[in-house]
Amino acid sequence: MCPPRPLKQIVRVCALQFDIYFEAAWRYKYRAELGHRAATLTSTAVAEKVSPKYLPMVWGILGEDVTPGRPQKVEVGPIAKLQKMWKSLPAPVAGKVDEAALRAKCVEMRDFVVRIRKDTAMQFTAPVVAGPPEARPPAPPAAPAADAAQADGTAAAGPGRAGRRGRGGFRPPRGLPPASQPLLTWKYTQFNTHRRDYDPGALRLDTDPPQAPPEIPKLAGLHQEASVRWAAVMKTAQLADPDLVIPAAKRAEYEDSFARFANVFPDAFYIAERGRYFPDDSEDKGRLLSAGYHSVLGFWRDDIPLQQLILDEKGKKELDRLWTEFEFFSDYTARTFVQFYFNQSGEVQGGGAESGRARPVGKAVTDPSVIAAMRDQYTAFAKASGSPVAAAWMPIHFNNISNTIQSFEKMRIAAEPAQLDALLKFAARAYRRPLTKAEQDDLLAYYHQLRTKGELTHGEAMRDSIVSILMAPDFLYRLDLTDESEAQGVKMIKASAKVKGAEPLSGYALANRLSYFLWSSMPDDELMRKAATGELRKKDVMMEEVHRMLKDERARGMATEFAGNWLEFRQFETYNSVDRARYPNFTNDLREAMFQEPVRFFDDVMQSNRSVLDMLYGNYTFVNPALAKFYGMPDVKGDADTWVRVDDAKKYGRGGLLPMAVFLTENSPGLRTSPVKRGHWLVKDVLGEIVPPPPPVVPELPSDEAKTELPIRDLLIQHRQNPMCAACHARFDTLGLAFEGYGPAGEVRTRDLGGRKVDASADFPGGFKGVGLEGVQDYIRERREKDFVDNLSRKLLAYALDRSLILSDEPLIDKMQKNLVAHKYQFDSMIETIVTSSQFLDRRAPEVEHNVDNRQKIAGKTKKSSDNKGA
Amino acid sequence: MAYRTQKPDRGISRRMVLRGAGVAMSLPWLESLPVFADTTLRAGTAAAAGAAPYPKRFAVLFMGTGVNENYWSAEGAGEAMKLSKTLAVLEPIKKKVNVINGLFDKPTTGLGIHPGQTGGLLSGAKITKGAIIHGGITVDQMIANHVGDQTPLASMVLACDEPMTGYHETNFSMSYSSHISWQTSDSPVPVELYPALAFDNLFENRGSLRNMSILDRVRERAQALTTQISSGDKAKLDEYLTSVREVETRVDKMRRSMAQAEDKAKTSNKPLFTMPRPANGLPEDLRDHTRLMCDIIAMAFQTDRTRVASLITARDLSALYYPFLDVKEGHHSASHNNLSDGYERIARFHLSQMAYLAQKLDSMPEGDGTVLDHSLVMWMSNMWDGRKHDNGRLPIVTAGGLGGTLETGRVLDYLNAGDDNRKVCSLYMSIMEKFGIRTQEFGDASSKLKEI
Repeated sequence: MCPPRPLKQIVRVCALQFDIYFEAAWRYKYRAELGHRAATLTSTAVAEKVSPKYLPMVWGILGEDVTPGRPQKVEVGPIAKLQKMWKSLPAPVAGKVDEAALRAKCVEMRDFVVRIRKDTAMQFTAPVVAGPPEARPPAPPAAPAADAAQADGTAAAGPGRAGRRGRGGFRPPRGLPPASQPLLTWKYTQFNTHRRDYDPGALRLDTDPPQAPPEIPKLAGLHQEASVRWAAVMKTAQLADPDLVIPAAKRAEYEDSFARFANVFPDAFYIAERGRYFPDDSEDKGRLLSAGYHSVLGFWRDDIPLQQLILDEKGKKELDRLWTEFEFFSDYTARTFVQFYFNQSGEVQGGGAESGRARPVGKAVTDPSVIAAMRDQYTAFAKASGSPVAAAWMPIHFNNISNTIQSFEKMRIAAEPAQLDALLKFAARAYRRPLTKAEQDDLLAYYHQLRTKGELTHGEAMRDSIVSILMAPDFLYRLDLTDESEAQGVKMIKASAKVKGAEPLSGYALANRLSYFLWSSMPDDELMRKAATGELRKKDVMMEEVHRMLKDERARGMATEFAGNWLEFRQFETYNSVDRARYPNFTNDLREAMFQEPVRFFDDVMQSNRSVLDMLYGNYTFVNPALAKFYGMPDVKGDADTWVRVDDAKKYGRGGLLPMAVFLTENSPGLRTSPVKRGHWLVKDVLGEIVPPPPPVVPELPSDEAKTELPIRDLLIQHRQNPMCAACHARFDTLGLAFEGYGPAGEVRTRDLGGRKVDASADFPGGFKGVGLEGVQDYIRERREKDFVDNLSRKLLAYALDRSLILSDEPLIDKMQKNLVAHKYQFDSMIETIVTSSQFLDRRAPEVEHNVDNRQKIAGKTKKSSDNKGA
Repeated sequence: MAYRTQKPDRGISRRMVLRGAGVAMSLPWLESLPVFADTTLRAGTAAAAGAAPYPKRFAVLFMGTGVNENYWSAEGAGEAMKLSKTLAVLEPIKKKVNVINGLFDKPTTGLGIHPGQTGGLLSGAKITKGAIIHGGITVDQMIANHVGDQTPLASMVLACDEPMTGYHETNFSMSYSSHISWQTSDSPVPVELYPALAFDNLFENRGSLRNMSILDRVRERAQALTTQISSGDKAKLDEYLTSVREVETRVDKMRRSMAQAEDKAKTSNKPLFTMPRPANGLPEDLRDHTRLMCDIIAMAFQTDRTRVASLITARDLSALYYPFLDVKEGHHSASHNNLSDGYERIARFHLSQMAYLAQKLDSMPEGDGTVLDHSLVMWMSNMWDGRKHDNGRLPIVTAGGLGGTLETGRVLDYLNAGDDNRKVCSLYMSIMEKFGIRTQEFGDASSKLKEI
């Protein structure tokens, strides 16, 4: 587990990957041959993404630090062996590197280093704290009186203390178990601080008699010292390692070699995971740094070699900061101590390895006096046990805990002002505009009232303040208020509305309107900046922002919300009326793909500024793997998010919005097509025709096409023959019938579900004949194109303004269409016309007098209703 | 937070704006039927059921690491039931008791000791090792989901033993050992350790005063806005103000009904069940802690604040400390000597908490019977014996008849009924069915327990 960014870049050596450093050193050595004559160790380290601090150390231990004129040191032991392996690495041949061979040899070198360090790493065992020597194990009880508790809660006098009535028949304390927390922290500290040392006891002299490997005891049980077994495992490994045998005659030199070797190559850079049997954590993965229950130790930081060898100052600071932040919000030192208090600290009183003690009277468990009392008790116990190492360590252990807890409590209090600042910033983001000074003061006053009058803690008061922000109308609603900028003290470019009776929107309100139009989301910082000064109202600035925003991925929001609502497929992601028994390929993935197709199409029209007429006639569409399969198009490689454009979609029966599966499916009732619904959708949604609703009593059409005797077009004959029906149905039925070549799930078909041959010919309104998709497209092109453009303009304008259109918008709609035609129907021109209009830039000036009149009228008339209003 | 920096004890504090205070609580449920308007059963239900319209309640009390099996046995029925030493604390109410022997929770066997034996105890769920914890909804929360919307609180989840972090050596998280109630599979329901806060939860729903303060604030803001917006937008803002008022009304209901109850108590001269607000902080003596928690549950049931409660008096792997029982070892250490007299005293102490609660509920008249008659109080542990960590059978005892739907005064032994017929999850299914919850399966069971 590597630490998070940005340390990740430097700390590639998470798992003793010395091979990476050997490779880097090699590339530096042959820099000339590899064409980097001017390279330095530092530049090589940076290029190879390894630590510039550590690479020179590795370079040195490989014997490359040669001072000209000085005789090179003759190495022995592991350093000699490593250097021999190093020298055997082949040089590049004609500037070419045999990468595989290089890597293999570097890995070999690494494995050697790792093995030597594993076998020579220092091991530590917790000091023994056996208890005061005068303590004796209790004699067996003389009488069965122990059963009856006395009235005052004490029991009869225990054995060994004749005549003394101790509370509860006191049993003298035993020693501390080896996993007692303070003993563990001593042991862990030794490991922490000796990873760049080696254990001389691991070496054997060539004059030593042969040793038999020790018997390896069973895994330690609870409360037993785990390192006893580990020492035996280590010894066995050491005895099997020939590289640990050194000539007695050259003992000093060899020991020096091992020492320098260990100094450069630690046995671990840091510990990321800890299991029950430290350091052998082979069995207990997945518990990160939080140790086992019986050792009651939380997060223990063990990364000194990482700091000393790998990280630069910046890196060290960052890692420290991360640990500090972690403690700050997780409070792990205090938590760990509390657990220790209630689950282990009874051990000095003789309660055994897993007993806590009673809650302290009138104080918090983490109070300094409580920790100090425990410190003194443990220290005295260690002294009385004759364990000087433990006795010296106890104060360090407990004082460290107490100091840490105290300093973090202080830190939390000191952080409150910064957190209140953050609260204000959060409010500005939530309200999508800066807060006025008055608003900021009010929010802080609310917080302080919660703290003082309400007696809430800082955390509770912050929480309630945040809740009040998220419940405020300023967050939930978009408020187009005009006086904000001035109230906020922002110098505005003097603006005037284009139309009488209107006043300009404030900068922030305009920014919100623009971003919700183009992104369906809040403005970003840059838009807010431009809005604050009022320059957004200038056409060139506005269009620059528009183009920036359309290129942003958030523009997908407009594609989804506008197209989805305009063409009524917004809810399709949860559409469930397809009979999945008859259409097993209609999976959730396919449904999602169908939903996305028009979104991606529209997205492309927006981003590439295509002609809006492509929506009708475009001979292309967009598919992902699932949709491509469904349409019978060539395979698309990738996952659900891989979308490709398919040109010449016509040959698959696709192209543009009209034949998209989503519309054909949504307008079909499951087991048959519905030319009525499809035709209606087309004329109403696409062409903007207003069709009155059907009369209340309409006979049902059969639900399953497979079970009908006649094809659907014949069943619809009523619509044509009955003049009451025909009045409306003549306007759209046939447009739906032209899509009979697509089944209930939008699939291309030549036969319907009843096995009959499909007939997609139609007589469109106004006497225009056509067949299938092409027929519809021809019809629209000849007769209805203006309707489409008009409809699209109205829909887009209404969407941008967040309101229904009114009579006074007609000139603007006209203008939109004229501009559209003038710009070859490119989508951009529609946006431009909208965002530069008074409807978009201004709002109606409030009718203050009227409001006052009305309020007074209401107040005079009916007291009751005003009582109820918001009381 | 499982613990807090505590202010020194102040006893019963003055009325605090946002924290709530001690209250004189009102009358037993029946008397307050018209007062707790929001807690009356839906019209028609009582008539349809044909039974007394008293709500059923469920409480589960848990003590970790098993009992002293030499003193845990019962035989006979009803008045003639003979109870062993530990079970004898239930003698006064033994006619309302069922001693259930021999059930087990197969999903919690074979996972290693302790957390593996506890994580799926009330759910029969399969739990996972490592950093991601995964359990399943427990029987008490199933019941809470079903009846919880009829009471101010869906359930109370309490404990007298602090949860433990970290991992057991079996690589299961200690959270499995520290909690018994789970609402979702991802996280157990956090336990409330502080009696004062559990008390507040009952009467002020803890956050209600704070909620009122927030509602006040946003309502003021909305009203200020009405002068600045168009008449069209006013309608939208009116919607907003209406919803704010609706939330205020809901939040206020409880406090109004409580005031009404106080008034009613004054005018009808009935004795009040008074309970002062417990002191802030955690009691120093475990006996006070357990008693307070039982009192709070009893009060909650009597006044229909909630109908579901769970209480851990000692969690699995507990290090609770019993100087008053003349036991020097911590709970868990002592359980390794579970055949000792000391451990028998420990188990008996914990079972006597259940007896205390049951007897308290039995002292509250309700209709023709008592609150206990309409409830089920279940006591259980996660093992039979702590020295072998054997959970092939579990010690379970219940009190209460769930409104006549459960026969009591029995000793039921399923030990030799065959593994398919002694699933504790079957017991849960039986209990849930009496609350009107029908499931196809629960945990590893797909049928109810015979005789229950």
